[in-house]
Amino acid sequence: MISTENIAEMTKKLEKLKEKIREESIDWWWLDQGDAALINITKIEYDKKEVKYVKMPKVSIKTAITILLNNLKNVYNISKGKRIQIMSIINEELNELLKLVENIREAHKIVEELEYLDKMINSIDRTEEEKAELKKIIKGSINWIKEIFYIKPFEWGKRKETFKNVTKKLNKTIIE
Amino acid sequence: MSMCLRKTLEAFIRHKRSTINEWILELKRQALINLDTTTANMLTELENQVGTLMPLKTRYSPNEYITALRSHALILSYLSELLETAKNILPPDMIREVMLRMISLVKGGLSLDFGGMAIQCKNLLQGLQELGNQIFAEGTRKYLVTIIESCGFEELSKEGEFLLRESIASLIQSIEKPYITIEEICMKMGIKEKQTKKIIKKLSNLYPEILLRNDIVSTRQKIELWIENVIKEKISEDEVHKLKELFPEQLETAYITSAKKLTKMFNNLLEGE
Repeated sequence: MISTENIAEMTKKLEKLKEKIREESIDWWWLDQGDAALINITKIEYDKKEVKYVKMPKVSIKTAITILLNNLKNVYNISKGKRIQIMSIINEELNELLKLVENIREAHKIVEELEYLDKMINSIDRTEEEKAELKKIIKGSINWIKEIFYIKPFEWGKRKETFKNVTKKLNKTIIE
Repeated sequence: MSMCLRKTLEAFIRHKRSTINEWILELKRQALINLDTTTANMLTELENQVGTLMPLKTRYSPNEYITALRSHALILSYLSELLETAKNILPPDMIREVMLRMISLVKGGLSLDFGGMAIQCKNLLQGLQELGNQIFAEGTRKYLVTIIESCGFEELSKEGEFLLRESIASLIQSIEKPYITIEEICMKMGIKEKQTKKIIKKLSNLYPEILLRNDIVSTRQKIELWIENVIKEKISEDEVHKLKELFPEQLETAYITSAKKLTKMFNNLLEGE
């Protein structure tokens, strides 16, 4: 059963998560420090007569958690019959957020590695043309990663191997 | 002590002993064809051990005798299941070793500790991994069904009731849907429908984790695991509507549990665990 304690516990945990995301996302420069609008979330509006489910346009992860928190706070005021549906939506969207952050963290590691390789290019023994070509590949890869997250962030799973391979090859060419 | 129970258990023991001995003979025949006298001799020893698996009435008080009968019957149910399932899969010496260890449980003083013996058997069989679990489940089922069908659910001991609850819970756990119907339980357990309904009703009173609405049975754990899957895999939600009608409170709890788990996973992810 949903109790005030349960809701309070969940709210507290989500607020902590929001704070952690805020801290971590400062490094996600390629996603506007976590302000990029990446995920659709449902805003649950409640007045005494009815519950409205408003599918929001894409919002940032931080905003998504704030909406989830508000949805959760509303759960306790809503009649029993409708709570299950709301809890189901909260669960699904929480799961999507988790997957999204997992994807971003994986992608961020690759972006960081690409950035590092970009800096290393200047010190390698190659012609200017070759260096420019390598820089172009790196920039293109980062832009492509960015584009995936802005358009279909959940497709990262299918695409990540490509970027891992590109990074591996660049690493071999530039460092080794 | 019910006469029905005593007679049923004695008949069960006699029947299982003779079935086991037939299988041992078959293995022995095979060993002799292969001129493997060592295995043949070991199997003869096993045959003799199985022959002694009947409690002596004179050694026990009437109540103790029934407990000893229950223990012997359960052990024989596992032994017979072990031979039937594993005789063509596992090497004879491995089967023999597990059998002897189970026999020694009932002979080594555990015959009056039915619950303890069942747990020890489960542990022993788990050494055979999935095959062992299958043997334990089927051996338990056959033992329980024999008592229930012949004398009624009331003749099960407290530990027997617990085993029955475990059997039903693992049956529910093994299916894809979040619940099972009484009819499906009847078919899988081999107990008549009327009897099954009565049993489930009693069990759900005794053990609140077993949930019964109309003819639908589930457990809190099953609903929670199933909901987690629905959320992660986005599988069909048709069953959710049924659960909402039948077990709304448990469904709410399952969603809360799942949300807590997701938040914990989220937290672990951010903390790099």
